[in-house]
Amino acid sequence: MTSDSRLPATTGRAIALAAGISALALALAEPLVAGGVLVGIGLSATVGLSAGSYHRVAVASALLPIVVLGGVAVIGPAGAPIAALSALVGVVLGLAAGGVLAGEPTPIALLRAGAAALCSAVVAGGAALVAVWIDTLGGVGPALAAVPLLTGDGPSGLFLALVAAVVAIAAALFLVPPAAFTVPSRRDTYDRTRNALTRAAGVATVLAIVVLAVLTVLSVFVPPLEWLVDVIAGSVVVRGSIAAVTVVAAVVAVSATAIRATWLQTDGRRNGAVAIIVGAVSGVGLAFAGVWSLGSVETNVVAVAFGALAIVLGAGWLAAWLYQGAVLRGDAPTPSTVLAGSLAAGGAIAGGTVDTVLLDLETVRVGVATFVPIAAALFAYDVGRYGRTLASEIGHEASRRPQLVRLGWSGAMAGAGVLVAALGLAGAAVLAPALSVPATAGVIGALVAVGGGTWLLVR
Amino acid sequence: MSDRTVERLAGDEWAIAATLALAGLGIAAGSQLLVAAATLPLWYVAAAAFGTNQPSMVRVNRRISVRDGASGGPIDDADESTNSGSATVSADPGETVTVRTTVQNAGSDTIVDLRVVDGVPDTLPVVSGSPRACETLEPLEETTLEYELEPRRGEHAFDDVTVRTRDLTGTVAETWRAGAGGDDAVRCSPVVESVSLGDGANDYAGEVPTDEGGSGLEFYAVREYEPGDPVRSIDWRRYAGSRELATIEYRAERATRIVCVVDARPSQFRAATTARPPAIERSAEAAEQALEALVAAGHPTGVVGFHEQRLTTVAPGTDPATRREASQLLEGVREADFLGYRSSDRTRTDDPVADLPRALPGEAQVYLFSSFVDDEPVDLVERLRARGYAVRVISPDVTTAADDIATRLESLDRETRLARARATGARVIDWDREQSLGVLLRNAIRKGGRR
Repeated sequence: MTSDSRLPATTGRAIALAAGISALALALAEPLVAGGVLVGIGLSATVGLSAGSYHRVAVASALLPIVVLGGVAVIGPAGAPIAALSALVGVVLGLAAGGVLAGEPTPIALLRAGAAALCSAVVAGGAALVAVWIDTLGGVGPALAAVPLLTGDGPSGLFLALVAAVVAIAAALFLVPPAAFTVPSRRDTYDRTRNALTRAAGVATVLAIVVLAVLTVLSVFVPPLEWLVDVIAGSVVVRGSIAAVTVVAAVVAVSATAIRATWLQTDGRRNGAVAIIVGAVSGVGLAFAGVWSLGSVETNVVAVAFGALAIVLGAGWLAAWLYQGAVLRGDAPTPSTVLAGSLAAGGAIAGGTVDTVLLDLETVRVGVATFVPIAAALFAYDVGRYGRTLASEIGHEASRRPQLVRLGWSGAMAGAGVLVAALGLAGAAVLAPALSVPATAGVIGALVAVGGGTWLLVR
Repeated sequence: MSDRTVERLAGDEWAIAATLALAGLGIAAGSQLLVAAATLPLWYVAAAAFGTNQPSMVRVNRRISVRDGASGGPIDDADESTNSGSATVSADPGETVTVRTTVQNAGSDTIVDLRVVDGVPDTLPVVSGSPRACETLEPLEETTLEYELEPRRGEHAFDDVTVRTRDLTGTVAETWRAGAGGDDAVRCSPVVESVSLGDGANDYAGEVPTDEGGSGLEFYAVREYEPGDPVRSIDWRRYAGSRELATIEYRAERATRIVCVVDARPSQFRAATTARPPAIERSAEAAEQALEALVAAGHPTGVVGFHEQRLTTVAPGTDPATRREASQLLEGVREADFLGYRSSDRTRTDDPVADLPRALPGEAQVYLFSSFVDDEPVDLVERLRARGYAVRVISPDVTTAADDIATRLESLDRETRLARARATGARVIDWDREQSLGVLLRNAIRKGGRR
């Protein structure tokens, strides 16, 4: 028998269709579920992309913080725990539906997605701190104005800014691995070029400092020069350019350090660290810029959102790490099982919000949101088991006809179950005073006893 | 047909657990909806309880055909398969074995879930298609598993077909092994004596069919009569009907002359390891076997020793003297006789690559035996192809055994040279040590460009 982990295509599509219908039914009771499903599908896509080439890994790493930020934006304002829980169920539902269609995530995809989550969490944490700092300064404008003057006012501040810039440039030049630019046979040429660039930056900085020092000293004797020194030291263009160069060089140096560290921890000849780090930094940067570009978001809300993003991404890294271990051990729950569990949970949450049923539209709405997901969960679990057996015995490319027969049979049972349960519920509503919850439970118990007895007899 | 196994698959416990969980949750939360929803899994419990086994009957027939891997057309087929008989199909390496196993529902009830796995021999890899299938079959309906195998040396018997049926509920499965009628084995054991000749031919009458009209036995075409055509070639029936003269042409059959060129330069004394024979010895051995096979088939065959500064030649022929001289020349090459074979046709040259084409007959196929560890053989192939010779290259590989970087680089260089030779239109066979010489020669000889 084969070891194809994917479900046969027809069975997988049927389960995904059932999940889609159930998501719509759940959205009748709690609209946030729809947003959660979209976030889950986005997460599933990022995990799927992580299994591909490094270009796709970079795109996935960039998409991950954006999608999770969308999830935070959907679930965060929910307020009520039931709504947040329903939205969370929607996320799991979307994630599992992607797994049903594309197959169980591979360990390498989970490893990369987890690394991207961890890297994004660190960057998002930094972004949250930046947002807090902006909030303390009173907004983006004051913060941008303050950045060039972080090293202080006047010539002394400019001296420090120049020194910081040249140190950052030198660090970036020496920390970026030579393999990013050259091949081993041309390593000497690269070293000469890098050293020349570093020397040039150093000489330029020293010259600038010397010129500035001379002007500062001379300004004591020649008053007009004092004006010139003040203009240069306080120029937004000069200080802003130096600050921008320093920030870019510092980001490159930190990223290069992280890439070097990951290379030292691997034995393989290939490593997706560059794609993951570049993607994560870009994704969080785009999300940060996008949130600020909206203009209407309070700075403290941005800080909280990115703090939550960092926490969720950190939890995501932990989940990915645990799931990867389970996949490697072979005891990870299959996507169809996870999907069935999330559907059942969604139905139970929806059903748990209603105590007494009445013959009104509200009961119909919640009843649909309860029965349809639970029936779909049973269907997904049943045909998921069938599909796994079929894939194991025949292969992923099994023919469609027997699958359709089996899907029709299981679907008919689920549909008949929903119909009978709805009729029973209507009867319970009519006989509400007589058929209380304990009485209904008694009826269910009797049905179970009859079914169990029949089962034993037939066996 | 072997014993049948009926098993009831585990499958309803989960539904009972779901019922109890939902009912318990509903009672705990005081939700009538959840209590009512607890009835949903009971349908699956009931389905599992009432699932029964329905005995099924299938009829299986297997048919095996052999397809030439290069041409794509069927070249061999077993006798028409029957349910009672069995047959062994012969195939050669390089060909593709196509298996069509037909499974028919011979019972009176529909089989909703029929799973079939053909008994493919473990030693034969499936290269296309699948020997597994799952189908729903109405009574007397049939399905066909079609897949392709790569033949390997030896005789390989197919096992019985494994059949498994499931009922509609998926809770009862019946498994058994069904014997297949028709073909049941593949034999793959080519011998060098049975090699066939390719289509390359010269202008002399012989037995190789060509794409030209002329004298022969097989009908080729009808063309307008031209003065001088033999009277016996005129299509008299057409003349009786339309009063027009037409000439019938038959497919011309030509002879082929073959020259085996053996690279005997010092570079060919290299071996893969000290325990293995050098390239020159393997080339001479292969050339000698090819010579014997071709001469036995009636094709004039000669040998040229391709030395550093001389060419030793035995002209193509089929007579015993030619065979004896060719064997002596090859023996001298194999024994590393630096003086070479003392033939009457022994030419000193400063540029053997340039002079060798001039020493060949005008119409001939050339078989070049060389390890291609340097560039001269590539130059020789290019020159021969430029002059229109059909060239086959048999290249013993002496660069695969070592793990050192230098040898691996030489191996890459050699592969590049072989690729350059292929690009000229020559048929190149990279002769690995493990590959059978007989199979190799068969592949080398049978493929040829039609004139």
